[in-house]
Amino acid sequence: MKENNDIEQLFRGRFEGYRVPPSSGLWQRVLRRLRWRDFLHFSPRQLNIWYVTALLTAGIAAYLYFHDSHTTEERQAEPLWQQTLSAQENHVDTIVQQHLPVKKERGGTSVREAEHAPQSQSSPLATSPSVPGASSGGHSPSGEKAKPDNDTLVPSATSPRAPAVRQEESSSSVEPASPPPVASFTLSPSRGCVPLKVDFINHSEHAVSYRWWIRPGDVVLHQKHPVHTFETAGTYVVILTVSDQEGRTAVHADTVRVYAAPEAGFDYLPKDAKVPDEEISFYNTSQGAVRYFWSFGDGHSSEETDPVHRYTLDGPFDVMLVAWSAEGCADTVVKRGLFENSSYYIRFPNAFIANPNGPTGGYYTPGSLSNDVFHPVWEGVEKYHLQIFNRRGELVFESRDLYRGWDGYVLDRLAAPGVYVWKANGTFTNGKPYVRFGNVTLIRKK
Amino acid sequence: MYTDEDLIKGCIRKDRNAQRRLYERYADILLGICSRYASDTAEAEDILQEGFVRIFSYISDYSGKGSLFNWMRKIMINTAITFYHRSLKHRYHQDIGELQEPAADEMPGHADFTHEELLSVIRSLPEGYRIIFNLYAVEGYKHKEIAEMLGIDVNTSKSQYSRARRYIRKKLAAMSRIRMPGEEEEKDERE
Repeated sequence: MKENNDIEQLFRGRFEGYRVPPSSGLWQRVLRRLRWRDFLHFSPRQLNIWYVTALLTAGIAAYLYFHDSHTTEERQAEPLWQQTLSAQENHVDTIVQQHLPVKKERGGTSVREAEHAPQSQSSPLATSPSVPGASSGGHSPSGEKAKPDNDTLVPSATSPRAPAVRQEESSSSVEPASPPPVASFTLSPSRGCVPLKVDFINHSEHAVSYRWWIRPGDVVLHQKHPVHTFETAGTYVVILTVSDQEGRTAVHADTVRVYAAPEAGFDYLPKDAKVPDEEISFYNTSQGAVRYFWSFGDGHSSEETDPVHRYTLDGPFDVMLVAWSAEGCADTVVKRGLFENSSYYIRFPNAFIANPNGPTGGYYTPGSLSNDVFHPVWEGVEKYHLQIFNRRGELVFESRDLYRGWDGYVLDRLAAPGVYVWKANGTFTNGKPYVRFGNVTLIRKK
Repeated sequence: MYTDEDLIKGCIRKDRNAQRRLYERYADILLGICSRYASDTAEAEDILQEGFVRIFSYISDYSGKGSLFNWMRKIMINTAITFYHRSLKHRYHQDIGELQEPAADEMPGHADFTHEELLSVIRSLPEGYRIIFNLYAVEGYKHKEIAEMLGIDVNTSKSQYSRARRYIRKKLAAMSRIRMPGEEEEKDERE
């Protein structure tokens, strides 16, 4: 039991009259709380939210009333009301211009001022300590009634009504005769591949002049519906500033995306591939592309990047490559007449000039440029049979020797000039058969 | 110099001057009370602030019976209890059983502990125990009153109080041993 008492005595004794000095700002905190509390609670003598609300309501009602009769003579008839009204408007205006924390501060000080007045009038504390505070009811009404005009609107900044009042007011001061201009447009198209031609479709209202500003590049246009071609890839900002006759302006902006085009290109190996037979590797050298389409010229195609193709027909072939960028922009490259001189071919000319000086026997030198013997150019031919007919269908020449063509003579006599029909067949060295036919014109040298 | 009565009348009129004077007169001693209930100085000042707002709001209810200080002290204590109830919702409720009790068993007697040391001991108690200990040991309330104030059972108040007491006793003993290990005899003499 003794121990028990010890502890209680220890603490009770130690903490009897124990004082801790509060930090210096604490009274201000208490005061703020008190002001807020007082403001929220109704009291007939004190500035509070109810007064503010009532005055705001009255102010708005009065304002609306006078706004209606703005142009009539009633305005002159009631100058007193008018004065009060404009005073209130001014108040509201200054309030709204301030930032919120400042408003609160103002609200606080004004409340304080409102309450200093009655205190200094009665000053019960300063003069006689024993004066009863009952007199407050007597003098305060006179002191307080005047207050609302000056101060009550100040805390209204915290009330949601304040902006509404201001809006009303601003609309009255501007007095718009016509609706303000509205800037609006659409871009058609707003994105695409370079070069991109864009129609600027103007939807602006109540405007008389237009200024289009394209950045970067700083192109300025003044038409109502201009057309502009973007030659370089990039993102452009189009800023439209419209203005009406009164000089009021409105601005609208949008962006144009111009995508870079890819550059299609390819190569192939081996260059002297034997077509048809050998496998050919195509190498893509396109820039800025992600998707491809190959057409090999023989009816086959591929979507691989680097395809390998084996032709089953004779060349030459036109090979086409289409390359697409990620944004869908395309470029096409075509290489014509590929594999024209590749192996395993046999081709005939369609005319020759016979030598008038007598038959030569038809033997010729491959690669020679003379044109007095009708013979094929060829590569890889193993078996060969050429027949030539005149227009009556009579066989005028026949050969199984690749190195012997027709010199234009039939039985040592020069044949008549004109068109002859030929047919050639045989096999290539790879065993593949071939059949060719066509016609050839015999020309006589004058 | 105003009497408490003058200040009360001024406060009833919501006279800011009177309110400020009342605050200046009693803030430090009331903060001394609050700091025993709070877990730190900031909380103590929060309690004091809230307590003063209540004092000024309800000052017209002050009957004039009993001293103004006791009335305000009671408001402060009630405010502290309100804070405690509010914090119950947010804080993990720690039981004293989980505390590491100091391994000493003897009471050091009237060692001259400073306020700070005693406060640190009180503040090391879980909030509920701290309030009960304060109410019973320092303020001198009965367990029945405490149970009503806190909305708990009388036996809870009793058992928590005795556990808090035991804890404090051991803690003080440990503290005094650490502080002055060579002065045991001197303390005995005083006792």
